[in-house]
Amino acid sequence: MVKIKSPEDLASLTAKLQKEKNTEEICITVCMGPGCLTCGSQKVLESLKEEIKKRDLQEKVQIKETGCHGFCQKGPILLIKPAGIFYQQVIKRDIPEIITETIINNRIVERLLYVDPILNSKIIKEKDVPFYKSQYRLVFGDNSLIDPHKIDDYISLGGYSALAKALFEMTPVQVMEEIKNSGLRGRGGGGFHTGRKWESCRNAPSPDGVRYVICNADEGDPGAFMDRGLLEGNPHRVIEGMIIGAYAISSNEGYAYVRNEYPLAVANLNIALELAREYGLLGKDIMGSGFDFDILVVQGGGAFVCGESTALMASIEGKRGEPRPKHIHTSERGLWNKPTALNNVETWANVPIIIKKGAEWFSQIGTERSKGTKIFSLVGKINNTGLVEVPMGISLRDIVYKIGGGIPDGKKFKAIQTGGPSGGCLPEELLDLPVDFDELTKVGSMMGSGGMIVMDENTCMVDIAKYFLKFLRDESCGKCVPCREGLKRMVQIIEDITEGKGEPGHLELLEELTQTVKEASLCGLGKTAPNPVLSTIRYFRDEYEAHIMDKKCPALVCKNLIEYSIDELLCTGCGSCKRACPVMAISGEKLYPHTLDMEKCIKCGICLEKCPFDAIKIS
Amino acid sequence: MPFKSTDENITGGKDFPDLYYEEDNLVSLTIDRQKVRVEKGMTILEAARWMGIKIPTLCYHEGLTPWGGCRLCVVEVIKRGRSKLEASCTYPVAEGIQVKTNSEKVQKTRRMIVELLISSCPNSRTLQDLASGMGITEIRFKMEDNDCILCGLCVRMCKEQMMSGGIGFINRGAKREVSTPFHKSSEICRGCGACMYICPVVTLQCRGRREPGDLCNACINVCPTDFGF
Amino acid sequence: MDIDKIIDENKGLKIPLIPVLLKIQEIEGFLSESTIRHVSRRLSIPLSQVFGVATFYSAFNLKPSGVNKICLCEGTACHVKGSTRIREKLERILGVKPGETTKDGIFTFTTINCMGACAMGPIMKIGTEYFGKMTPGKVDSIIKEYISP
Repeated sequence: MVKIKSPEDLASLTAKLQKEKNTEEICITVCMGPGCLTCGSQKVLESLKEEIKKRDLQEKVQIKETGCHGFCQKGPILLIKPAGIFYQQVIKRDIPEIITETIINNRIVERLLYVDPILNSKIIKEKDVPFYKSQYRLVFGDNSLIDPHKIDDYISLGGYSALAKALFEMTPVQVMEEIKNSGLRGRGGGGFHTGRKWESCRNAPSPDGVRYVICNADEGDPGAFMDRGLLEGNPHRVIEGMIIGAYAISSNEGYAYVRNEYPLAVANLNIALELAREYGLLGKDIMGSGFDFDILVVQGGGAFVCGESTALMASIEGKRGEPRPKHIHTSERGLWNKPTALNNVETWANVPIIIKKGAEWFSQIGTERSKGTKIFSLVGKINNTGLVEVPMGISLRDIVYKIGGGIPDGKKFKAIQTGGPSGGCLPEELLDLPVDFDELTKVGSMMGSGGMIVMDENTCMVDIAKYFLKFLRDESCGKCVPCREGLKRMVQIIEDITEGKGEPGHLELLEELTQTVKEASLCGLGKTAPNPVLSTIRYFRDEYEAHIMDKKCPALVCKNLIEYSIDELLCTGCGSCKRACPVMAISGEKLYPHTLDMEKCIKCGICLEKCPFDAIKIS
Repeated sequence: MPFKSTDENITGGKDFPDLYYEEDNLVSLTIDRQKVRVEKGMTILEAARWMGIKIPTLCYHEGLTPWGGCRLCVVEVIKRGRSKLEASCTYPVAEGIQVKTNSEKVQKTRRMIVELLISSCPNSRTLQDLASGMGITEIRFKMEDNDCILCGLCVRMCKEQMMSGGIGFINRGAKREVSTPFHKSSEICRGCGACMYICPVVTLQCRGRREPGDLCNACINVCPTDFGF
Repeated sequence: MDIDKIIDENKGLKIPLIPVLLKIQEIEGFLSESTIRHVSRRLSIPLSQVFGVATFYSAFNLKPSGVNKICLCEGTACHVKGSTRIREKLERILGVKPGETTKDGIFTFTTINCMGACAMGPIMKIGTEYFGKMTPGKVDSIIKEYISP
């Protein structure tokens, strides 16, 4: 590999790569994102390689393994270029047909196409799929074009040109000003202005001149996987952003703190870093500019609290991930007490775009105080699950219905949970709310890192609040009393409520407790921990009251408050439930309606799943 | 309420004398409506105690690094018009801030913290005294019977003053505890007893007549000043 | 000894403790008492600190694990789609709680906060194989495959 020693070298390499890229050549793109992997894209890829080899098509057809395309619901996804054919839910068996039909005979395999659920028509091209149509894939769009193991793929799309521009045409202060003017806000949750953070980091005194840059990839929010998608699919964009950031604050040392649960992200990032070093885009004297910077990947140990900046830094320092008081900001006194610029993966990935296209261009996207786009992981009870990228200011309704395709099985929408365990649940009345840092905070939720979990009428809001509280209780570091003891007590109270032992004063006690936890906790985890409870009490108080007063769970979720029964009119006596029941609570003769013994029933719900006639009822 | 907030007791108020006279090194702030100039780098707790204002603490000790864990020392800090609760033991004094050490919000929070702590560690006299002093007569949570309040004084004492490191925190969240490695006697422990000396729970067990795992309140009618308020 | 090699490889790092422990665990499957004591000695970090770190992070096991590691995702998306019932089912047929190993040593059952494949929830992982869109009814047949090779 030839080292890139000047911006001209990079430009000529980019031109060369673009020229080499044969637009006529057939390229089959296989999504290897987390969603597709779970439904067997590895097998699809293997059989694709085998088939191509068997038919001796290696010269004609290129196979590309990419990161997540976003539409996980329909995985494994195959994209055939240059025609742009979009095949979904492909399994191993489909491969020979795809090769014969599409590659050799140039015909389309109809049954693998995406069917528009409303118009019932088949859609051939990816860009026409409604899921993609309403998105604005500024940061995430390149994922389907890039093999994360190949730096050339990224460079051929104009990668690292923003870095060249920053290093050779701008001063560090100009870079910082550009980010400041763009209005970019932290994508990790808090929404702090990135430019201002860099400024205070740059201006903070550091006697030996040491400053650090950190990429926070400890994506702990359950139900969110945007950072994973980005880091696995397009690691160079994050690296480029970090180098630019380091140049702006004059740092020579960077860390990428990646979650322990994402081994593939660690591997891809390490490969990407090695490739960037070989090209001279990282390390000493980057692109001949005289600027040195390198990045070390640090694997986390599996602790949600390490997403908090001071805890993350403690973890990098090899200590227990306990937050410390943040009266002095980490941008002034962070890692090893040096000024540190810590940003989230998505924030870093936005940086090269801003430098390349300019702050003015970027600030036209989004709302007045929230600029750019945001990637959300749209999951839960929704038709089109996956990663979506939308401009700020789009309404929640558009995300749920236009992109997400509404709620499955004709169920009713109940709530949308944003912001992970620190966020809140928003009811249907607030669906027209624009997605914006401040708007979401105003109604008691938050942008968070971008998890968006949709809930339907069968979701119990008290159960959801209990889920988050339990999660936070187990993930709290336990250093400060309000968080450790307060959350423990909140879980106890809410468990009582869901078990039918709720008492009239419980809601008030819960509310009083949330105040203390919110105000007196040491770090962000504790300060935001009551949000799921507060927001569910605020918007779904009647559900809490139904649990406490009537001892009923309206959504039929809380085990102690529901009963299973068999509808005699619907039961055909097929015996499926009887065979499945683990405690033999169901009895009855074949072809006669069965009966359920309430004494024995453990409410596991297997009979409900197994019954082909919907004869099992919950009340 | 057995004692009144200092906020109400002080009307007008005379300015406090400066601690040092090196102008560059001073920060002026307002604590409980009294203007004061103190040395940079001090914490609010140190400044307030120097002024004679009592702030209850559990995890703080002069000889050890501030930890900010018990949150009992919370005070209201008003900075640029925004009021926030902060732990005074770790918050450094800053120019122009206003501090309320005993406002209603502060008291409410402290009472809740004591209630939370006493419900899990009712045997500690320190906590029972605090509860009596604050007029807490009812615990609304399920009583437990733990001893350790996880203030971390022993851990810091062992490490910072005794230069040892025989004990440390293990686990996290609700399962957190102070222990020696593998729950076995530590090889580096010299048996100096400093950890026991500093523990606010071990040496001072509540001797009031009460059922085990109950709120004592035997001292509720003692003058509040006896509790250090 | 492997452990010494890992320690020597990482000694140059500013922050060797967590990477060293992670790598040792990768090879040995868990961190034994003697390993932790050894790491503490070699890196000259107080034992209480090493033990504190090893018990703080959920990635570290201090007990040996079974042949097959069953890992159930309990992320929000999976929870909404009913992972609790799957957990109860697994607890029932394996006879262990999350974090424990079956008596015969075939399975270790753990739960995870989020696997990052939320779109396909509920998700279960055995070894390196993923099972998306799980239901309690599917559990039996999947587990059976791992019991009889």
